[in-house]
Amino acid sequence: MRKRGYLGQLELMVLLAAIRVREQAYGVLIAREIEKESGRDVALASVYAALERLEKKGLISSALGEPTAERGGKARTYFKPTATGLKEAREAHATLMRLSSRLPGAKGQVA
Amino acid sequence: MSLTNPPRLATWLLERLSSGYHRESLVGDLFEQYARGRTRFWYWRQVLVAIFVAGKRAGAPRLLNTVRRVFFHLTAEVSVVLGIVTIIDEFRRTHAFREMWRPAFTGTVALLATISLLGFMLSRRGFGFKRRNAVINHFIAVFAVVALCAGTFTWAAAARSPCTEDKTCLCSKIERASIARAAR
Repeated sequence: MRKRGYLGQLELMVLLAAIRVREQAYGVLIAREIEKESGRDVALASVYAALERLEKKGLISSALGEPTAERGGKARTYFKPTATGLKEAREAHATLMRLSSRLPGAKGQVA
Repeated sequence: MSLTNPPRLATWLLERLSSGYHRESLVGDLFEQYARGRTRFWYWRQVLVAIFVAGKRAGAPRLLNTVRRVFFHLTAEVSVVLGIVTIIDEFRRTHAFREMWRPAFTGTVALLATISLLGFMLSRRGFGFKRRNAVINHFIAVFAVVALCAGTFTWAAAARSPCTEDKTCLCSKIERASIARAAR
């Protein structure tokens, strides 16, 4: 059996946010998506650290964009989930759904 | 400076202390967000988190090694300064180069020189005795330990002895002269 590491909460959130944003997902958009859905502030540096970990695990790929003056001449890095990333996200989601099936107050459950 | 320019010090710190191969993109994202109306407080907070994340990523061992290196470097520098001050002070007391070399003075200078040598060596290499030239490194380490012990014992023995007319004691020429006068 293949040895698999678990995704951390932030890693999973970043991966799912990158999937939601789809095209042209870069740090700011991913952080904004997490903030919008979780209602909590997230630092860009934490998002980038999680993205780098996901990239090392082969769950996300990156491509460099064009540098712009507004960004002080720095280019954007666009992130895209890989096929493995999508599979991992689906599996994590299914596991979480199964585990939380008896959670009181959860969707479809009696408190 | 226009209002869209982010705080310079924060940017300088961010460019030097943050890490990761997407650092440039992170800096660009922060620039972009600041230009779009984020506050200086927000910018500073993001920079501090980026530095903290970089520190955490670098790991405690590297941080500890840096602290050790700084400590040894400071110790070495302090020893050099103390050594110079000791030599100048001794020369000022005795006014003669030949009279300077009493065991207490020699021991003190040897001790300070050994500490500074060890300090500089450890601050440059950390604890990497095994990296290269293992035999030379071990020889230096043994020599340093022996010299350190010898210097400490000589200095301690000389410092503990009461003030006498003898030129080997730690007290000054004036003190010795006054003791000699009292004895007469």
